[in-house]
Amino acid sequence: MVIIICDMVSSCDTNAQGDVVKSALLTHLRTNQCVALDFSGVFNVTSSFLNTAFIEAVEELGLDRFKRLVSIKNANRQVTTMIKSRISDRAQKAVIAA
Amino acid sequence: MDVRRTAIKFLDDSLFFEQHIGSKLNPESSPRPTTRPLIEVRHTESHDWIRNNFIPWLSGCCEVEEHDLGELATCLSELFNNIDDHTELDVGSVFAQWYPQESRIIVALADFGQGIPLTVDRVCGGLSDYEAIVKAFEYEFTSKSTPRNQGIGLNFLLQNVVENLNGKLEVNSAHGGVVFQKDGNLLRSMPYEQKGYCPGTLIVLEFDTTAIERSDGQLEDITW
Repeated sequence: MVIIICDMVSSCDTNAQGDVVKSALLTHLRTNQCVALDFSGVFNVTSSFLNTAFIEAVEELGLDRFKRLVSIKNANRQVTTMIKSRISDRAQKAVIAA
Repeated sequence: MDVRRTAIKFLDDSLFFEQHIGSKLNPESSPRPTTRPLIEVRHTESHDWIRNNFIPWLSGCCEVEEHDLGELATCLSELFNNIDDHTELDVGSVFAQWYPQESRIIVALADFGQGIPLTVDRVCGGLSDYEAIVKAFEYEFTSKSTPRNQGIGLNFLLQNVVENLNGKLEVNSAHGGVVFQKDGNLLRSMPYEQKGYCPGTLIVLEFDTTAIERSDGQLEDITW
């Protein structure tokens, strides 16, 4: 399943936009479907967007399952760096918690 | 040169008087190509303003491709999200000046909220105004003004402008002021107590645009 981010939200700036993506993402992940998120045309993402779209999904599913099911396509430098940083931060927290 | 007259002309060209007293001093004054004039931007319009107005203007000024200005766009979007989260009036006042001979950009953004010290005091009391400002920029410090805040935005700004671009960040709120700047390889915060009172928060970021990392804009797939 491919979700094209630009088809769902006009940009990736706010919690509300993150909510839209999270809902679509979780619909598929809850039934163990793999999802590719396509960031073509997305200029930048904020931490508010990612906190809602990704981190809340990670908290519900667990990091391992999230990484197994979700892949990211066509992300520019800023989007790539921000996503990697937020997910890596979450991974470190999971290690500390364990 | 009449410094006072030159300063007033600059302010008039920057639409300062139009913004604050309703009209320009000289009807022929108009924004200079090196200036993004002072305007108030609502949170709902801010992200579009950044992408469709500010970034294309800066890209033209400093000849950096727009795709390499995504980090800066995010810095400003984080600030507007903060305004939305922490202030009752979801509006920011923004101004930018490009200095072509020095390849330097200054962006100033102010809000009209209660200010950082009062916000920080809700979760971390007993700090001076400048200590509260330093606290607000710590990674993952959040006042939880909204449940989804995770304390990333201001630190992202600090990391990008000061750490990555070797620039300067100055923050004023209430009686406190802090300059964040690198000293060698160390990121230092230089706090000071200002004589006047700054209602809300004023953040001024400044850096040399030649420090911006250039790329071919290639898109990539992320592997975990």
